[in-house]
Amino acid sequence: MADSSVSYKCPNCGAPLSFLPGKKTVTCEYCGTEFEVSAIEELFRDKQEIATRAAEAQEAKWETENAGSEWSNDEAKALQAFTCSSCGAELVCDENTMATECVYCGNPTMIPKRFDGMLKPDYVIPFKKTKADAVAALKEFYKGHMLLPSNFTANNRVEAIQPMYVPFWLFDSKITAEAEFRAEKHHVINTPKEIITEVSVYNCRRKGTMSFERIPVDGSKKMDDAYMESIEPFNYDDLEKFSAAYLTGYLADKYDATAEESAPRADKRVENSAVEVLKSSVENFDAVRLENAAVVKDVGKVSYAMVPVWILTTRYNNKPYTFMMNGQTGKVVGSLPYDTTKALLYPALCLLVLMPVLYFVIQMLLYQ
Amino acid sequence: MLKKFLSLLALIFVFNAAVTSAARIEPVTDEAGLLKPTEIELLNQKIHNVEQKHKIKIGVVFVKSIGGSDMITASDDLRDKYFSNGMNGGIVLLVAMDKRKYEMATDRRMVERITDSDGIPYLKETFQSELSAGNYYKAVNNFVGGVEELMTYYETNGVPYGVMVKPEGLDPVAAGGAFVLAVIIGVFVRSSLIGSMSNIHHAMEAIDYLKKNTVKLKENRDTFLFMNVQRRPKGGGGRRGSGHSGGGGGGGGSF
Repeated sequence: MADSSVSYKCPNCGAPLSFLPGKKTVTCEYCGTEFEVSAIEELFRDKQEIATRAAEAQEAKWETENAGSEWSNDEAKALQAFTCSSCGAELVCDENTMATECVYCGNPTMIPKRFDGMLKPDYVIPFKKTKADAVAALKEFYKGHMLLPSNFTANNRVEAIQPMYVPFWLFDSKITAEAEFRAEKHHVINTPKEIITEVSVYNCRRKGTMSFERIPVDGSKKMDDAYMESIEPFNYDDLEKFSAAYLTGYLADKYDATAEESAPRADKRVENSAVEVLKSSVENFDAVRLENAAVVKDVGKVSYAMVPVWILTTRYNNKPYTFMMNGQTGKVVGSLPYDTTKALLYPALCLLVLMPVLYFVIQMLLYQ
Repeated sequence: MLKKFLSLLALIFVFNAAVTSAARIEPVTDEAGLLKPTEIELLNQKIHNVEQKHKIKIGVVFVKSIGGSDMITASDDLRDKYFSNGMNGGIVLLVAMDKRKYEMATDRRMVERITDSDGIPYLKETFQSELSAGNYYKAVNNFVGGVEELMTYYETNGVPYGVMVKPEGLDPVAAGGAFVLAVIIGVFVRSSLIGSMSNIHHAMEAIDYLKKNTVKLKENRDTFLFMNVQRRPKGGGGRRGSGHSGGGGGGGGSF
């Protein structure tokens, strides 16, 4: 008998589930749930298939070899480089532009050096926001923060904000995604004596193809990834073929994280979004939960682009604070310092005001 | 439905016949023959004393069967017909011997004094074990004693049994609760204020870069696996809501 039985896990409680081929239903010995054998067989066949796809997904690679190109001799001659004596950042600009202070650490000593090459970008998003825009946006950003130290804005050097092209890898991908969801339909029956809730559990399988265009991942190790992801999104309608002319008057960072190194961040985001797209097609259910998923890259191309960012690194209590503005959309991001006294004072005031109110509310509830 | 209605009518008829044959409506009616006449006399006397003292009505009815009717409807009907004219309310204990079930029904005034959430369970505790053991006289005696205790509690404290008594002056429970809640809110406010100082976060999705017109669903299959059924009795824990009619309350069980 044991030889002819096949063991699976119960979808309700996870206990081992055994059934005899040929029977139409099986009941879990542990939780008592009854299943159609055909449904269970189909469920586990699908799981096996998704596991196989997941293995394939790990092997799929991005075509990184065509990203970027070489500079011509004339172009290279017109560029110069500066190195920060403090953090080692290496910035590039045209021969008429000077890097006066490091955008990453605020160090004013930038040592000029010979431009020794970098990959020429494929695309550029030109600056749309001026320095005046950046200063105004930053001042606006400071407003409305109750815990901001009073002397922070006074010594903030907002005017020192600098424009810089940040290197980004843009990932294009066409993918096939498949996923299994556990979905529930709730039906509540009200009888005079009791409330009966029937929860019907379904296995929902979805498979589809979709394309993502130019998912940006910064190619600079010095640039905080969270900052770079926070200034998104970019509008690619303004994307232009790269020309060295766009660097005039601006600094540019050299990439130090390769496309291969940056790809896992794009992969993760694609996977999350693909699953969300499939999940949104699981309709007319009261609860939906992802069981497992596999996202396989059918086509994965990479291009190299320069993206405009206004950057200010300032110091407060010997700690650097960096603020950035998307040079195309004007979105400002940053992390402000907070006054520890204010951070205690405001909650304490809140506590003092709330206590009598809560006292009477609790009394009312206790002795109603 | 009709069968239930006829059963209820029959029960009321039997009870009517019993009470009208007596000189007055006595609190204890034993249609199941479980109590001796002397015991009934003693219980009636005790109940009369409690009724006068607390200005309430108490009824105890033993029947062999309530037919096809349900205990809640039957006890409510007895309460409304014979025991609801007490100044401070009325309560009925109905015991059906065929099903070995009992049900207490309180009217809208009594439910304010003996609550479904605390008072009724307290009463159950006083007599259920005696009922199970077949000590019917003791069970009724304990039930009446329980009702008197709960009425005395209400008259002394101004609130029904189970509801906390408001202390005079500063209430340490409310003060402690208010302090703890205020601290929790304060910590939440502090975290929110500190959190608002930064808008830096990692991007977890790439939905902004999805080409919407490229999404093609190739498989879309929903397979039913199983069904779970959850049953929840109505009005289990509140001060009211036991399913009794007329704004009253009550509760029962098996013995």
